[in-house]
Amino acid sequence: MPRANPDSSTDGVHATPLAPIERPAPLAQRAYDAIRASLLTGGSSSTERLTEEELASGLGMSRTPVREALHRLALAGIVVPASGGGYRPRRTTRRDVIEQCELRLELEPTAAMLVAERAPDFADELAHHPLLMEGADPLTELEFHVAIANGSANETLASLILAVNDRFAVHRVSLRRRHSVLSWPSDGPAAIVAAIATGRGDAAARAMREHLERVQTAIVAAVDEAHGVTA
Amino acid sequence: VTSGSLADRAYQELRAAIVRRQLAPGSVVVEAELAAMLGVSRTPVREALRRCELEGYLARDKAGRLVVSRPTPEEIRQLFLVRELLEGYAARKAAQRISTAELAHLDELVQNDLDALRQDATDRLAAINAELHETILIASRNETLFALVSSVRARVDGLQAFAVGMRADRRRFVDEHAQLVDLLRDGEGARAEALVRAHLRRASEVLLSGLPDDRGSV
Repeated sequence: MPRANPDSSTDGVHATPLAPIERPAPLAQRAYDAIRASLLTGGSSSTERLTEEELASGLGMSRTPVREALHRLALAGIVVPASGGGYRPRRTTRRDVIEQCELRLELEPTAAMLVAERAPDFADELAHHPLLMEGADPLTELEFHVAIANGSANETLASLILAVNDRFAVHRVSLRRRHSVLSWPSDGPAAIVAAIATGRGDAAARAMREHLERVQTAIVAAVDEAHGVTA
Repeated sequence: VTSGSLADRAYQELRAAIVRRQLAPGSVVVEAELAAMLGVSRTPVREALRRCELEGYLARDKAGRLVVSRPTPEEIRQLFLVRELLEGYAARKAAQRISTAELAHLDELVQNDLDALRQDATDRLAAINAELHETILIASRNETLFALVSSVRARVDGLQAFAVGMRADRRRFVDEHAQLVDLLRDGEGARAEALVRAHLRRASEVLLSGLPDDRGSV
């Protein structure tokens, strides 16, 4: 998470220097990235119970960084504790995906607007994004939306968009695994990039909103189909 | 008492001290002093510090010391833009979904708001403000929203305390809280959203237009 960068030289009410505090180990970060990527690409761990022992041996590290990584993934809402120990990917519910889509609809049009207004040239870079070149898989899709979020230069906005997209992608992977039919609005990303290129914030926001509304319709239909709900 | 619950308690106490400005922005936080203050060993304090650092309540200075975070004007702008989006949404949804019990709780908070305003009790205004905004987030019935906002809670809490602290604007903020509760009761989602957005825009303008000297050079 982004944070304030306070001026070190003022307001020191305490004179004694701090004892060193353990910082998140780089190993734990590596474990987090590896497990998250596996979950979001539908790798082997995306259906099974995740245990410290197996992940640690798979990653060639000790259990301590793996434990920390799993704890952080749980805080991020990507995994939940499994009965009988360990963790499992969060189960997809209709309510979850609707909540996530509603929040994406609040946050992402503004991110697209900010990118268009401050950096329309960013569209050139986005035009070569793998999502537009190769098509949609959940992780590539997530990275496209996170790229736009980062382009907004609002760190708080970007960190929230990343957090909600992480949760959303877990459900995309799980639906794909169950072979649910997704009528994905695949022309949306190109329309968003074209709108950003015009430099008009309102057009970029509208393109993002229209795309996400179609995404919401598609994923809710897929969840209903997977759960055997008839609309 | 388990070490887990001691660490939780240390975390809650530390966070409250930062939000209430008992620890000033920019001040260095010392593990041993905190442990003595809270009457616990250094292990739960260390955990509490680490969690507050992860959440952004604390940051590292150039010498690697843990210090209480101080927001910059750009961070205030960025944060309030996000608050406008999310709290505007929450108000819109809450107007349809809020429970009778929650409305009663909000009425009580508005009453406390007026009392605190009369008594010029800034700390209480800040605490009531935080609770009122949080109640509306919960009343939106979007659990994902609540989890996400918790992840940026550090800055939100600190800045709410700031905005309420401006003498000239307190009356207006309290009036707007009362209007907002009425709009939620009447199911006026669009108007509740517009009011929350304007309320937050004014709060950020107040923050940016000049803070008291003892609150730093934002």
